[in-house]
Amino acid sequence: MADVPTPTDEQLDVWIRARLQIAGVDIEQLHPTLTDPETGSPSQAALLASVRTFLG
Amino acid sequence: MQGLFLSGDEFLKGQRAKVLLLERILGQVFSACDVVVQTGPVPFDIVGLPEIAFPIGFTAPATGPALPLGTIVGGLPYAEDRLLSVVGAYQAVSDHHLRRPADPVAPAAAARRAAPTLRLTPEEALAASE
Repeated sequence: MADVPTPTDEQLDVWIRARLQIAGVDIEQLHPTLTDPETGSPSQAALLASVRTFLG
Repeated sequence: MQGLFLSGDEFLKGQRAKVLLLERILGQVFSACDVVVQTGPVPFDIVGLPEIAFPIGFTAPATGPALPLGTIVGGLPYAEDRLLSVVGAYQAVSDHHLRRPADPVAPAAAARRAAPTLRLTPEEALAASE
């Protein structure tokens, strides 16, 4: 059986966003790139990077 | 958040791996020693074994302040008293846990007031160049 190609980061991001949306989590509530200094909430980019690392 | 991406069978497989790892640690590692010196909390924290962290010295950088160094010692289940005894014995003959770095020196108030102005007017720049 042929090797399954490794998904790109962009493909993983699409799947992560879809899976979170199914679970009712809307990461659009987070800032795209900046961490919130008052609450410590991560940015969307940081959250996606964390989950990509977890999946990898 | 990461748990949402873990399937049920992956979770169960991880739980079984934890049990296997614990059996190996208890049966093999602790058959040869009483406590284990570690460089990090993993995997003892994952399998629920007790650990204790304590200072063992300071770095010796070429520049900049010396930073504290520590290590972790792990033990058998419910053997916290043994860990405390080991570290207590170590600290009875060392003083790393008592040493404190010098407080950083704040610039004197006069030095802060005398700090150069960051922006000069054209007249000030002309006067300074004469």
